[in-house]
Amino acid sequence: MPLPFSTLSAVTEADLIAACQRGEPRAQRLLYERLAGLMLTVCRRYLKRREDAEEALLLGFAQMFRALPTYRGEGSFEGWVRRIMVNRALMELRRKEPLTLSFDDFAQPENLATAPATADTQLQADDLLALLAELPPGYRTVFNLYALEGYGHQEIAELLGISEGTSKSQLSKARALLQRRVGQAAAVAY
Amino acid sequence: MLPENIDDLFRDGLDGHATPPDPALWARLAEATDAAGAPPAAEDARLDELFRAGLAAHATPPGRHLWERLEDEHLRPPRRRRAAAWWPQALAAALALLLVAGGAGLLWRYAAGSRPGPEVAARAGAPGLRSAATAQSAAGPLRPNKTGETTRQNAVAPAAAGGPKDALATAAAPATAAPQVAQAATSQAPPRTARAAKTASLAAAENIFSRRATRSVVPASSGSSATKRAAVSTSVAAQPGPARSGAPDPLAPAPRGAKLPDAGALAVAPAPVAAPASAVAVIEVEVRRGSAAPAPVAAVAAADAFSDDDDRPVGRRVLGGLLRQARHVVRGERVSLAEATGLPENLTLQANLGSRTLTHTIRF
Repeated sequence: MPLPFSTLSAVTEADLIAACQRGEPRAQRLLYERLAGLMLTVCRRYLKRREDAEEALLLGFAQMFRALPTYRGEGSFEGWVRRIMVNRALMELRRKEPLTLSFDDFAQPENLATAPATADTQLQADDLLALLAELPPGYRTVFNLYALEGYGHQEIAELLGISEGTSKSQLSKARALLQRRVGQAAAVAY
Repeated sequence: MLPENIDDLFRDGLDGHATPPDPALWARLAEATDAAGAPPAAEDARLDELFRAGLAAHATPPGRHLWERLEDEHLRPPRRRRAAAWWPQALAAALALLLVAGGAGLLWRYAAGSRPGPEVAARAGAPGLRSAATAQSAAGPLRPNKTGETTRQNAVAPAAAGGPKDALATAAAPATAAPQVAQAATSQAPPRTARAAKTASLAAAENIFSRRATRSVVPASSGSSATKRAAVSTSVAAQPGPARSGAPDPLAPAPRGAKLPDAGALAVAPAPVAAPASAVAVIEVEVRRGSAAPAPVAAVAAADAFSDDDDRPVGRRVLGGLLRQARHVVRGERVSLAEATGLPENLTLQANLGSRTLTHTIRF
């Protein structure tokens, strides 16, 4: 039975998912509107250019709608969608910004000097996204996966096709670089 | 010294010996550790939390086109996408085709109606029609004058071609050309009014299907502003003539050569001069230009203006109108079928059935 139009705004996530699994266009639109903003931020964390992030979002949603009939309701639906988006963003990243070429760059001492971020550093989300975008792709990817998505080094290594040691090294260097730049950005902000 | 003794010498001399390191060495080692990217764990956690909290709930509004792309490229079948992309053009093409087809149909009907026929030939104005009427008048026995040509032509045509059942009738029309028609049918009888009444009565008695198409030429003689009138009677009213009917009609010369097949029969048939109005049933249909019943003078003037404004052939005028409307379609302006075809915007059909009057207005 199609979702009544008047109740679209109050429909539960389970009903919405069920309607999307039946292929109802209005439910698909509603699900897109609920998740697209969050998922675009996820894609922007991995991809430097907004156009690339939007392309990843588009392909990720298409993949999600195709895979929706196989969703069994185990775990968070948003987490399930997020994983799809992360994978799609990584695929897009490999196409747009070759990952392997950047793993060994940026290891200059002047880039690694640290200026610790203070606890009360107030940076807006767009500032943080800009800081991430300035990171080399390898640093950015490992930092995102480890610090923000909660992946372990072994998972990251499998996902990116690198060793665990490389993952740890990239994370360490990414943190050092971010500490320094967050400090600079906070100093400019104040 | 034996080799065993040398081993003992060094073991005894160096075992347990400590060399104090250079103080700068520790500083260099500390610097190397920082350069290796190992900040304290607390700072790592603080940095991670900064990004996690700042970005976890942040939503970037996607562009409007994204959903359309997602729907068109991934969620909907390609057939629908093609239809969605082409339907405006298809709709415009269908409208244009409909407009052209409608205009052509009207033109065809317009041209077909200009051939000898009682209803359409009575239409005033169009040059094509005028030429058709002229040709017909040249072939027929009547030689009409300038103002009454159409009326008389149409009055005679059905009578001549239709045979005995196609008699002229003076219906309940107030004045107009009814007396003239009666005169044309019965030709040389001096009392026109009486003869017209007789003819009508005969038609009523025999239940003859009569048809009359006339045009009101003299405004004062007509009760309506009809530019075209077609009166269909199943039983013709024997309403006596109007005030004008007793006088000789200056517009209708007696058609000397007009010999209708049943004219004599009509003339000699006994009939009451006037029948009661309740005993008759008259269906009179009038077609007017415009939505309201205008003054007769205005109607005639309008008819004349309609016929005289544009001397181009009908085909060229209609074609020009169609092209004009096509330009309006392209510019998104209002399209007028009446303007395209050269027809009036409104036509009013009025049917008089005894005492009842039914009126309907058609908008083009």
